[in-house]
Amino acid sequence: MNQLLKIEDLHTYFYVRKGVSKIVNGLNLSVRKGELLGVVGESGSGKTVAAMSIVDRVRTPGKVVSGKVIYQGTDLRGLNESELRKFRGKEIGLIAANARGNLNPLIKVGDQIADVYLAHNKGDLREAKQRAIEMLRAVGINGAEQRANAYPHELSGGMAQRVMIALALINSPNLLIADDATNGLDVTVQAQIMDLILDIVEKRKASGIFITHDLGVVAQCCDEIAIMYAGQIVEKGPVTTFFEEPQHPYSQNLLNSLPERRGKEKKILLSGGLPNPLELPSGCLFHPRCPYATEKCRQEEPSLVKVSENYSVKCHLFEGITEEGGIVDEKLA
Amino acid sequence: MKNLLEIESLTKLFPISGTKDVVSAVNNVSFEIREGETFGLIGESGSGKSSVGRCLLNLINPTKGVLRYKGMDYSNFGKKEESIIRSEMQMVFQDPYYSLNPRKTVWDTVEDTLRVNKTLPEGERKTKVSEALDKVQISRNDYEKYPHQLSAGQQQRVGIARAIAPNPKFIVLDEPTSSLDLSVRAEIIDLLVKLQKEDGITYLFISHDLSTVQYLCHRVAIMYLGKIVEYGTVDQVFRNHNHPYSKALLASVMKADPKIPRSNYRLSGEIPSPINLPKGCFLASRCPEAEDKCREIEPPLIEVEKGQFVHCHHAKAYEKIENKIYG
Repeated sequence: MNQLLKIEDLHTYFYVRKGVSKIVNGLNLSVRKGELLGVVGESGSGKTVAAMSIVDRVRTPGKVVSGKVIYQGTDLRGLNESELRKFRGKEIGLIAANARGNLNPLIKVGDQIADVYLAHNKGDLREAKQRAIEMLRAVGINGAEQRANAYPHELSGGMAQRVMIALALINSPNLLIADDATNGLDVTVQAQIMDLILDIVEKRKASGIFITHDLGVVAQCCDEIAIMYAGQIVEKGPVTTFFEEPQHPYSQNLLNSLPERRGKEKKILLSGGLPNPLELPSGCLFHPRCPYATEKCRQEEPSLVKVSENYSVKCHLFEGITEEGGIVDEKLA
Repeated sequence: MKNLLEIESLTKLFPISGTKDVVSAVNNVSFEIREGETFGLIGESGSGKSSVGRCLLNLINPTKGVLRYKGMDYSNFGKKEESIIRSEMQMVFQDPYYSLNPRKTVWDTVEDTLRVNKTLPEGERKTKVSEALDKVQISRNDYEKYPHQLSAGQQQRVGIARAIAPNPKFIVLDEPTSSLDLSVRAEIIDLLVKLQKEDGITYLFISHDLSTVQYLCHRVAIMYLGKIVEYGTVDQVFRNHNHPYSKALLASVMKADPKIPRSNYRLSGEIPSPINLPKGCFLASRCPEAEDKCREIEPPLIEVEKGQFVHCHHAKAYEKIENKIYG
């Protein structure tokens, strides 16, 4: 499989009154064609800002300060707004979290979808509307003709989320970025929405990035997983390997927090939270919470080390280890 | 185990102003909560689980039904019942930030719940406050802080401290962890388990997070459109469920283990409006197993195994029980 998207050393900062809030700090990520990647992080880990940085939709006071976003050989960061528009919505579809908040409350949902269609296709409004209705039907909305004339507030949460998906898919993008697409939905609706996204992604042979804090979604739907902490990827690899044996101390802690993993013998959890983005620690960003932190961790930032062919961990403990890197696990268990 | 609370045919209707319509939030629900257990109430949004919790504390008045606490009927809420209920039953809310008064410090928040008890001398009251805050592991340095200065996990700890300060016997936990991140959620769950062990508090845990319910609860009821469709012990409901809704609900949960394949048992459509409830079984319009009978006749409650009850025409009774009692 060849690469579809490659993000290199991406930094996004917010310039606020109190100083510089460093949200994305050297993000490295790549997605192959046909691959489904799950990006997992807790709230505040920079997941959404990272997604917005990919399509350059970070709003002031935020700014993508450096890094590359290479989509099929083109660095999107080097493009101007009108060139970028050819990619947005056409090549890369974004399903935003909080569907109701991201739909225009004053425009009928069918017209909103038609607008997106017309932005990338020639045709008249009537044809576009017809397309929108077909798309609404494809995402499983009953009575699509009537629903196309509804305003966002007339729809339920699950329905609004389906409209967002229709919006993102109307131009058959090659890459779908779903930012917490099922957050806040009931489990049965969540399952329906995920079925739908997976079905469409498979039919259109698209790739997907699922940004979520729900490890269940990733375990059940994705091929690859990347764990995000303070705007960096700390661990990345195939889903099956990860859930069997997570390597980074943070990932282990995250997985141990799952009720079904805790069982009778309660595993010790690390205290504290994400570092303040205004005053990031030196060295490894995780060192203040890490039970294995050494002097080196406090001073030097670790790089994303390959521990096996397709598995990487950003931790000093793994430097020099190329195979069989399970040393952390024993200590934390 | 003795029953701490008994709920019989609880119904809660909310009239819609300006119309003759009513929203039936809770529909003839009966169950019992035993002393020292954690009873889980699960269901999707709009299923009426929070309304049940609020009725139990008499925060809203039930439209119909009998509520008993230690055998005492408190459905007709009077002064005498109020003094008992208010001190022995407490609640922890979903969103810790919005359920705390932003203009009160941590200490004042907890102390205020005890001020209601006028017979409690000031010295004792202060001891109780610091005991409660110690139990939830809020450090002395945070006593004078305001809610916005605390992390979400600490805020929920304050919410819990406020609930346990009057030494209640029973706490309604209304989605106490659903707005929290995974690791913080685990800390709060640990805290709740610890408090139950130490003080023998009985919980009603309302949640849509099924893995937490499975981990924390002893017995579980699944609600759909204001009705309990199935209830029993955690093992019965999670491993050996009978109701189609339970099947669909549990099949929808995405387990954090790639080795478990996703089940494709699904309901079609969305939850109907609780305003004009359908005739017959409420699930009939979405149920893959529905027959004509289901659309016409309301299903009885059937005991499929000792202590496990299912509200479905298709369930097979191991011993049929009177329809009248459990509705």
